Amino acid sequence: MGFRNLIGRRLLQVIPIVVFATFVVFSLLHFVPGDPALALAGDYATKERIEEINRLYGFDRPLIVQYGVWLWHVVKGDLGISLLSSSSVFDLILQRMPNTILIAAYALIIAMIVGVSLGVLAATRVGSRLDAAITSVASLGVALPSFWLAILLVVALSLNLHLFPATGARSFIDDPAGAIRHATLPALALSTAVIAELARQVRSALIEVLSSQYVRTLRAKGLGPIAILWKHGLRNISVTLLTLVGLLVNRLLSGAVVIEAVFAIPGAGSLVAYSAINKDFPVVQGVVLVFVIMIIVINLLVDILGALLDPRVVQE
Amino acid sequence: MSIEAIIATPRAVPARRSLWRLMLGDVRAVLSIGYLGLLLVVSIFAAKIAPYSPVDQNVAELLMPPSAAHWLGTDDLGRDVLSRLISGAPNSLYASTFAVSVALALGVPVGLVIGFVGGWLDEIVSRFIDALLSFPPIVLAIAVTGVLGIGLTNAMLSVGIVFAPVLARLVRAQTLIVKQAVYVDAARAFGASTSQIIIRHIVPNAIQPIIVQVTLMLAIALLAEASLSFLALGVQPPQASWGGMLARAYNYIEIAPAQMYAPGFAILLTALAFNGLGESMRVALDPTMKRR
Amino acid sequence: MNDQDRKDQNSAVWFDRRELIKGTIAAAGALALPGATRAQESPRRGGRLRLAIPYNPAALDPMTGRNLPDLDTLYAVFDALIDFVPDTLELKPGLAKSWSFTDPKTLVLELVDGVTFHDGTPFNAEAVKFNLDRYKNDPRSNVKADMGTVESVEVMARNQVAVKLNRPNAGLPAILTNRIGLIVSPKSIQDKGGNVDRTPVGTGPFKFVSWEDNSRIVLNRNETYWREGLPYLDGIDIRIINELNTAVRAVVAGEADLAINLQAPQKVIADRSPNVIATAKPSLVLYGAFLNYGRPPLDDVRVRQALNYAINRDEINKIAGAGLGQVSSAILPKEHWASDPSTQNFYTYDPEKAKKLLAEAGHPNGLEIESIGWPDQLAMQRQEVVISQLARVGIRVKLSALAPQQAMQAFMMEKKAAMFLSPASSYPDPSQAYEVLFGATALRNAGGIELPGFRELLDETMASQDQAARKQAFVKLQRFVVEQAMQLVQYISPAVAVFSPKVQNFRESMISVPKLTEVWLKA
Repeated sequence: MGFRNLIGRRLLQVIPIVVFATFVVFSLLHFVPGDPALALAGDYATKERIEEINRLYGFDRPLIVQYGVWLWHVVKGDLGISLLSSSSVFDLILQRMPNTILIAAYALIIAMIVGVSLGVLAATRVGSRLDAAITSVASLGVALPSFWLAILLVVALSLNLHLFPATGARSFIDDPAGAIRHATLPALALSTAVIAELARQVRSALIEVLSSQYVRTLRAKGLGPIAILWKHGLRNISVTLLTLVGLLVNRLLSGAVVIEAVFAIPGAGSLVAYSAINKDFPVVQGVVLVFVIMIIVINLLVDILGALLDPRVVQE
Repeated sequence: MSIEAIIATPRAVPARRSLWRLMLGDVRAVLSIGYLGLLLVVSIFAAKIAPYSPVDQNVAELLMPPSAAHWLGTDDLGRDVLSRLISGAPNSLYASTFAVSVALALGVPVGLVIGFVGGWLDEIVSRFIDALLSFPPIVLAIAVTGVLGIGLTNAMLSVGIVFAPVLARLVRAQTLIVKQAVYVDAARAFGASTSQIIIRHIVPNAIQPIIVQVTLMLAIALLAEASLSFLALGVQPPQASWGGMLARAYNYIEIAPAQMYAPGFAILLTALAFNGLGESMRVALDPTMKRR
Repeated sequence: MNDQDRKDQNSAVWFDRRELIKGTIAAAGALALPGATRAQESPRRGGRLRLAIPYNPAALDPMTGRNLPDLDTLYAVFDALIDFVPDTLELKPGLAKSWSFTDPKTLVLELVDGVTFHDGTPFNAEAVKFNLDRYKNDPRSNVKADMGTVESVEVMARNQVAVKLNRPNAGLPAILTNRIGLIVSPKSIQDKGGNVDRTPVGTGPFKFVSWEDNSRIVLNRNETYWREGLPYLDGIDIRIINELNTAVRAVVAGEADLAINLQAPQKVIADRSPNVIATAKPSLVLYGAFLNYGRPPLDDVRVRQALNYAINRDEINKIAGAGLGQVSSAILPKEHWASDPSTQNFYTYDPEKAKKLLAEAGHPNGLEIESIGWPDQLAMQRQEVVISQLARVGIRVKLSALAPQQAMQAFMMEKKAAMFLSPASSYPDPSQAYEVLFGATALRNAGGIELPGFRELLDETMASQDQAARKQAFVKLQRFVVEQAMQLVQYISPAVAVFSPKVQNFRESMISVPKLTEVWLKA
């Protein structure tokens, strides 16, 4: 079946993509002027100590060799050890990723509920003032710097009204209610751009479907508007929607980096930003690896779901 | 053809001479063009328009609220916020256009070539592009900035590099579509050479959605500059940039929350204008989208 | 929750039984603290302190860590051989109940009896020798420089250790208040094959439980702590909050009890809140610029002095330090025992003099200086002020912003600029500070040369153990360093902490790392 081909093809593509991505990051980090040994020596840096460290960690070996060594370890399941804190990269990611996923998923849920609703509302009342209002708000959402919104939210809802905590995160497993409370403001800030984008795309896709010959025919046959909306409108745009979600997840993860900085959330985004600035190679590469795999898997799932909903997609 | 390409493709290739007329009738387009025009003028004459020098510090007047002498108040070093906003305008405009130019310079040729040539070259480069697009853009920007060094130009260079794959993919998709179009075959049948085909037929038709995308990218580049400055990777002192001003204001939200508003609104309005322009162009260029 | 109740009940009963003794100690301790609030109450046993710190420890092994704030946690889990009075840095007994130099090159330490590590093994002279040898010889040791004058360590008796030096170092006892004085359980090191970066086992008031990087560190009371009655706290939950203002917000919102390692702006913010207390005490962290005086243009003392006269320290302090810092021309605050009051404010704000000096040095029209600085907002703010001030006397600064690690590399090793605007950390003994900043082989001395006369003056401070004699030597050394304008000191940063009124007995320390042994929480 076309299905198996699709999955097979995608999985085959994973390997070169992952290798490319991690090699790019690896090379970039190594081209950064600056000696990691200096960071490792910290306040106690002396010339002798720095040379010692370079020898200890093998920083004086050629780039390709260092990358090869890293890749070999990854294949064996070892993501290495953070240069700056000596903890296992795998453990670090395991600790931090859930926080990022929580706010990204939370933001996605908010965005889907609000964005799709707005888009449907606007599409079913095309040309009305509601439509104009929604379209304007959507334009606003796309243009808003998300961290500015985050700061505004903190000032309004947290510092002044104390409705939500201003900082930090809680483990969802340990304390679901607390976790949600802490994740609410970040998720809100993160979701606005996505809401706007979703609203716009849903609106235009739905308008197109609703004005198509097919739907007009159904109308003529006497089918009620709600039924049309449900059975045909949303079904038909679901593939579009799904693909869009795949693209938006990447954007959400990217936005999470800055939002995590504003809210002091110990997530994978702030981890990678901090590690990249301080040249903690193993951590950056490990996180990039995980991000890339996550995004590929999500896109694969999206494609599969899309194929389920609309078999035409499989013939690429 | 993938769903993405279907979504990204306009239905037909329109005539261009009605573009201006259509756009002038669109309120959003008028407002956007007007605002951007004003911004351009302000940027060019920034030094003359600004009431004070943007780098003049005044310890006696730190973090003052708006007053007759300082319409938008003063910042944490006693500098006039309005003047800094004005002198930040050319930097912000420069930042966005520079980033998008880099993206165009890198992405368009690559997209054209792999779209046209196809084959294994397409396969390999597309995988590479997928790789670049697979991880969160800001991570790539941070890494590239790390290599190139901190500063506005380098930060925007890295943003441009991050945008390039998106453009390349878009151009590639367009090229593929156009390549299959009948008139290319016709041109070939008439003996036109490859380069003639590319220049006369593919480029003009492929470029169209690029224009829309470019204006939208200008907005994103502006927001990206703000984010990178917020993460301490952007502008160097004492240059003013809106993103940098916002980043500095963040330190003072408990003491002087009003510091946030001026640069934030400047970024918002400019991004809105870029977006508005892009959307209007998209509507104008596609007659079947009249009711949108 | 039940466990907590039971523990509280137990401690209440326990407290009743020894109330008299503990109460006396506590009352005496409380009366001696000038900064404590409600000093008349006796300490309550119980409760967990929620502490916010800005930095993730590099490692919880004193040997491999590398940054001053690591000590926030290290001092809770480990005891030092020698302790210090927080406000003045005067030395007092720690794990060593007394010490003396039997000759200028031999330091003998008498150790406290009956102390055990968290893993039950005994603390004794063998353990001390093990640790000191390790600090000196282990390939992963970052603190070899601190052990520089130590030749060997000998076990004299079960609780007596002799440290033999290769040259006189009167500053060694002070250095033993810091990393190399922290004693790790040798068994724990052996069990882990030498790497205890993430599993610290010491003799300290708190036992290590867990550490989630850049997120949380959990410590519980050491029930068998050798100092009677201490600690009062059931444990410490440390949250790592990188952003300083966010840490303040956490305390204001009641999500944390105490935030430390903060800076001046945070006190301003905290002061606006009626339900938290903010303290700003003198510290050893200074804001200034390292100078490369090994080559032009800063090899000319007149140019260096011009820099010093050109900056307006009060302005910088007002803007970047909220006026809470201590303006200074010297590297030590005036409260420090080794400081010289006569040169403390040697350089006044005098742009005219600066211009004159520049002209004398051959730069009548000013000059260009390349400089390096950090890219974060607060650093940028300081740089903007300094650049603007220097510009007024014709010194045009061309600034490159680099991440801290790259900045060090570029300035110290690649010698890429004349000036590096950066804070300078603190050291337990002033001789260390001078050595690390101005010694010929010191990494921070980009010029790589020692000005003639410097070495002799520094050696003098290490020669005698008599505090008064040392002070005289330091006074001479400070005068030399200041007159030679070897650094561009701007102001000395206050050590700032913000806490809720529940927190009692919190004492900020001059090295900016407080010890939390005697802290207790009101109900």
